[in-house]
Amino acid sequence: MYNRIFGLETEYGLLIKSDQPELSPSWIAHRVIDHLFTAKKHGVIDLHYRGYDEPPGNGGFLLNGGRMYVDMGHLEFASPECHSLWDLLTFDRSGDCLIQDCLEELGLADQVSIIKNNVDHETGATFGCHENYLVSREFPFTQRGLGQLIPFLVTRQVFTGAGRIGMSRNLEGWIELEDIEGLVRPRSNNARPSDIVFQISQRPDFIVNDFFEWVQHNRAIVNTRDEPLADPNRFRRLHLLMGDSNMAEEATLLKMGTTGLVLQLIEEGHVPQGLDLDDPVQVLRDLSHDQSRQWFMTLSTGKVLSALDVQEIFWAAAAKHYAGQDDETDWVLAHWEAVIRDLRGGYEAVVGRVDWASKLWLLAQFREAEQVEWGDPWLKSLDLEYHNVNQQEGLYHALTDEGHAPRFMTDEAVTLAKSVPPRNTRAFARGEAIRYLTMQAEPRLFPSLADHPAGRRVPPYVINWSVLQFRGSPVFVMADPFRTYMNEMKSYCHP
Amino acid sequence: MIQRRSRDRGSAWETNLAEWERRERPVDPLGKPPGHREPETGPARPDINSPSKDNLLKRMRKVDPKQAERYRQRTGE
Repeated sequence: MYNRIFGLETEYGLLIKSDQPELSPSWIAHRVIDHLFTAKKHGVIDLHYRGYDEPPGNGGFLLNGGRMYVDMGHLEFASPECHSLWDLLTFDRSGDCLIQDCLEELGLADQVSIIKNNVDHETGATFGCHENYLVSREFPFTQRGLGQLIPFLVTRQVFTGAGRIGMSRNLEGWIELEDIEGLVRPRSNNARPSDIVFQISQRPDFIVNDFFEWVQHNRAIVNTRDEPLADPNRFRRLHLLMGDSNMAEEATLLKMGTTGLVLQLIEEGHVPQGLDLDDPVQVLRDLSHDQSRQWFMTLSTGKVLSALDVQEIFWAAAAKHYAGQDDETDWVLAHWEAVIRDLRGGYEAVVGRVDWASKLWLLAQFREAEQVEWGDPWLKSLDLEYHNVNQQEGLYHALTDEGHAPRFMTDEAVTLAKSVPPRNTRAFARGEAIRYLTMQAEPRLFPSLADHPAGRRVPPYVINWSVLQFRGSPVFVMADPFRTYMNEMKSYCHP
Repeated sequence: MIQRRSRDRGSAWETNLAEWERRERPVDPLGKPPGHREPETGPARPDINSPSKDNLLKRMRKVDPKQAERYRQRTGE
């Protein structure tokens, strides 16, 4: 898509199906990392401290230019930098398959399921699916500039939400403050758990702020951390953590594609005005909780619109300015328009394309057939199973098997994406560097400097998103994510 | 054909290379090209026949009713 680099970071849940106490999610996560990097040599393990919670051996970069690691006990896959939405979709799915492959090769597939969701119904824990959009350094990272994005983000859940049974009491409720007539007081929660049998999105119960820079506490609609992972004079990276992990391919493409177009509307001064919200965090939550699925909301002006109306206003602006811009833009505009139109006719019209609608429809069929109530724990189990990435087991994959969920990539493309990086971003150079490293003889890579007393303290390689270095060679800088650094990397590996 | 607006991203050679790479890749392997518009009237209900629904129900009945209780995750980011 025009002028954009995309990335997705997915934290996976691990469901241990047996009662063996030694099989903890954290232990499984480290077994997968060990198998992927040491046994399969599908990438190179980190040999340096990336942070206080990322010691050597905690993860590494993969042949496809992406990254697999353990973060706060969760297996996490970060896609390589993608210039195309279709690439992003394919590489995102390649992460699912890499982990599933490991479980099968380790003989653990019968005991463990990988769940690509964002919530533990029983404990109230949450974990994320973070979106990354490269923008220019000139992007207005001010409250006013980013504020123009808020009405879009709050309402896009009608087609990006993954849906869930029930609601969560936010464990960080003590920091939920709201400013009413100059008084700061704890945020009221309009909903009682008994009122919410099903909501359309998993993350709103855990979003407590509109703008904030941290990611583990006080989660915000827009994360404002300034960490471009590229030339900081030219780029910034918009990092969003309020979205759900998607199983539906169309939902993934629409989530990233529509958000990319709205960022372009902001960059070029075409974003619709007059859609400000007094309390976007509460609206985000109320829309997700709305059992009528009418999704009405009151703007700061007092005007009442539905979330679909707001999305249609953003769609109209994007269609006016960007129709014909490129093929992906036209695809996004056509499918964005279609999903808004179809949702006005009821959720059944988007089964297979929108995750919450697909899940709700499956649960409704099951409830009718088995005569179970919404409070039955079996439904929570089915909710989780929707997100099982195992194609033979997961309920989303059951919909695709029966031909009810449209596909936008092939399994062959996913297989390729497990070990081949995108060809038109800097991930290409990183992938080539990793391929070169995995072909070097062990145990000592680049031994010449290792024989030097100072060299023994230097790891044979350091790989990061924007720089890498082999021991004894200069730092290789990849400051521009749009460049492939193809020839430079060839010279670096074969000087 | 991907349109690119003028923007300084390095040499002309690199820009041409990127365009060549993008044209080469099939963007929709299932036959619907990007830009393909869906019919003006969307489906009102999922067209799911009985055998298909039976298959879905069969798969759902296999799910351990208690597995949500076994799902114990830490809070992440």
